[in-house]
Amino acid sequence: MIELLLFGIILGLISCVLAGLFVSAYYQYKRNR
Amino acid sequence: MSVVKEPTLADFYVRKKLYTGMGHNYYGEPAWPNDLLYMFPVVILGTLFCLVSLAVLETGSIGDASDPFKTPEEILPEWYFYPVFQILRTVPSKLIGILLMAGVPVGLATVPFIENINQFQNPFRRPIASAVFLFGTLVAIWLGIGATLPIDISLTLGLF
Repeated sequence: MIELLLFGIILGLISCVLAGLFVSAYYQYKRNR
Repeated sequence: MSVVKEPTLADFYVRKKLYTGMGHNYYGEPAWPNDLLYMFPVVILGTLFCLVSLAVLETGSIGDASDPFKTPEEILPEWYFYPVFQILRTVPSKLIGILLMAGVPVGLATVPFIENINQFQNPFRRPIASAVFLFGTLVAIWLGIGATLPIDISLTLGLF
């Protein structure tokens, strides 16, 4: 039994957090190059 | 094997921020009050808001109601064990399955000893580590979703 709302929250959180970390890391990478 | 991590002091803006007590947690930004006073309450209130919102939206409906006279159709562990549970139930040899399960914490325990091979911290300056991380994340999500499906479609997720 899988809760669809919780499933969406978890997958959405993972993708949003990873995207945010990598985008901010890319900005730092570009700034220090 | 020591690694020296120099701040980019040649950068005008980094020096300016460090001079005002801002800029970088490792190179001189004080934890008090910058993080402890101004950022921690944001995180605490945000977490509290999320928890209260979830509790209001999804009142007490986590999982089926228990019934001691009816065995559930599928017996799943706690959600954070889904990926290793999937490894254990899909690998044909149970010995290899248990070794692969034990390999997850053993592999994670090696990270502190090998992460300084590359002196940089930015993921775009450590492409191998970033690739391994992203691959591991995707594999964990794939295994975790598969654990919730019947075993004959759990590896293809029923897509093929």
